[in-house]
Amino acid sequence: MAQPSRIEPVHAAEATEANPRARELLRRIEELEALKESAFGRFTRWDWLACALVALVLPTAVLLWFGR
Amino acid sequence: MTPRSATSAPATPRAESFAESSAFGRMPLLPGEREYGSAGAHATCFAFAIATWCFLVGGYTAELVGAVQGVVCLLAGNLIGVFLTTMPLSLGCQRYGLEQIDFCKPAFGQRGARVILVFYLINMIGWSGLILVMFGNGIRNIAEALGYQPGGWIVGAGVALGLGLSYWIVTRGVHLLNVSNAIITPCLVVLIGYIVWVLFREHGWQAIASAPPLDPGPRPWLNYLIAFELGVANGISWWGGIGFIARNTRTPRISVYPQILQLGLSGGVVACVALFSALVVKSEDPTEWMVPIGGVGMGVVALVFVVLANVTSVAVSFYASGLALRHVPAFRALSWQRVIGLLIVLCLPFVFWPEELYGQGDAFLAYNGTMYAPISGILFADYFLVRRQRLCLWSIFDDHPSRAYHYSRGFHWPALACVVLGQAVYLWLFNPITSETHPLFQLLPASLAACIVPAVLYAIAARIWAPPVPVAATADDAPDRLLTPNI
Repeated sequence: MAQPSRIEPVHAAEATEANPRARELLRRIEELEALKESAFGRFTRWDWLACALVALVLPTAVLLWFGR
Repeated sequence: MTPRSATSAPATPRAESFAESSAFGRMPLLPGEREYGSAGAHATCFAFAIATWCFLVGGYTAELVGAVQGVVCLLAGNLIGVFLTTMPLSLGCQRYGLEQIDFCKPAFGQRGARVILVFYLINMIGWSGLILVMFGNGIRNIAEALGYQPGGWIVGAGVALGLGLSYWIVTRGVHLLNVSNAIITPCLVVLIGYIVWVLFREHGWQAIASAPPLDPGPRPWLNYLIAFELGVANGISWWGGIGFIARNTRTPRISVYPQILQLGLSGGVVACVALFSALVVKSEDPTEWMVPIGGVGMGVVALVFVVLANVTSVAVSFYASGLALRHVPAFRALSWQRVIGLLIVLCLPFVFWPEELYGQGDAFLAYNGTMYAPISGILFADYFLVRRQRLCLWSIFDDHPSRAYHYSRGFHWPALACVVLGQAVYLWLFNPITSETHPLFQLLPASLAACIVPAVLYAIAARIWAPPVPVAATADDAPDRLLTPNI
């Protein structure tokens, strides 16, 4: 790895500008950071409860029942 | 689809565009680019869930327990395993559009995530090798069904042929892989339906339920717990494929529910069909079921199909592994053919010692629990408890030492130490090679202990040694926001 700690900020900015992949990455990160939380949808406590019941509590109960 | 890695339409490295590389490479996906709605996510997860490795898992379980206990262990274990591994990965990868090795960087560090990459590759290579031996066994059994008597060499030769075919498919690019997947998945559904129909028509539930396990240990309760352990390990093994699907989904619900219902439930059901087949035919090897169940004609057709399905599974596994290797700077410059060639070389032991390695398949399945249970626990604690679901994308995609996820020379030692500790806890409770267990194994299955103990310790350690850096501060305080982009 090319000793990143020695990279000066100005050079780093130039390098980012010169690298199309890095430029695209920069654009994407900026866009994602600018989006509101609601743009990604919701996962509520009820969702957690449903998932925990179906995939954790119920299987454990059945396992213990048949393992008696 | 692959054993625990998933990609449905990979892009060719030669024809990379930003759209392709962001969808199938490492660029974070924007909400508008994500292709899976609810139906698409369910269909994709279903396609991954029903593939041929489920046959192997069902076969291993048949060694220990009968049909009723096996169904309970496979379904309960698979669901619990998927739940533990999918919650942080799905919600995190969906929120930030990340693939899973990048998602590991906040917890394990920029270079520490490469340690996880090694586990990931071991998982891929191991599953690919097992499925290739199944491919070789299938060729041998087809030959025997047609009246030939090939020597044992044909299995190794079959593995070599499978490797060659997989290499050919993967290096030809997306289209061929998509075509084979589009044919294989519906055919697998038909095959599984056919097996169920014949099993219940010819034998009936009473015969299936009363069939004894193939090679049980002396203590029934221990067989039951080990079978459950295999189920959990099977569910946790989906770790390698979850991130890819989740980052392509539009909402958190679409990222989580299909994984639980399809990877957890449908995958478990297919493994149960395999369990029934193994109990009835009295063989754990899926390639030995088809002729006894379907007769010579249908059996050979089914075997040919299973053999082809195995090659597709391995091809996608190689594709996903090749993409994952692009995380390592040394592999970014290599041609795609060389990267895939390296993976072929890593699979060569299966050419020379196919039966010996195939015989360790159940231990390997349990070892997947050893590998991924601690990682899943730590990611759970890190994403939900330590970082409160807030990650810094700038730090994930920047190798500069000033970044928040650089930690100590790129490694977050508390997390890595907790992985080692989790693996030690697993082996202390249950040794998958010798099947020796600790008395505490009765109270707490090894996979669950190996998930919970490191998660708790990591949450405490992360609070003490590395409190999370606020997202806004890391983005704004740096002089330039991408100093050393790692893409």
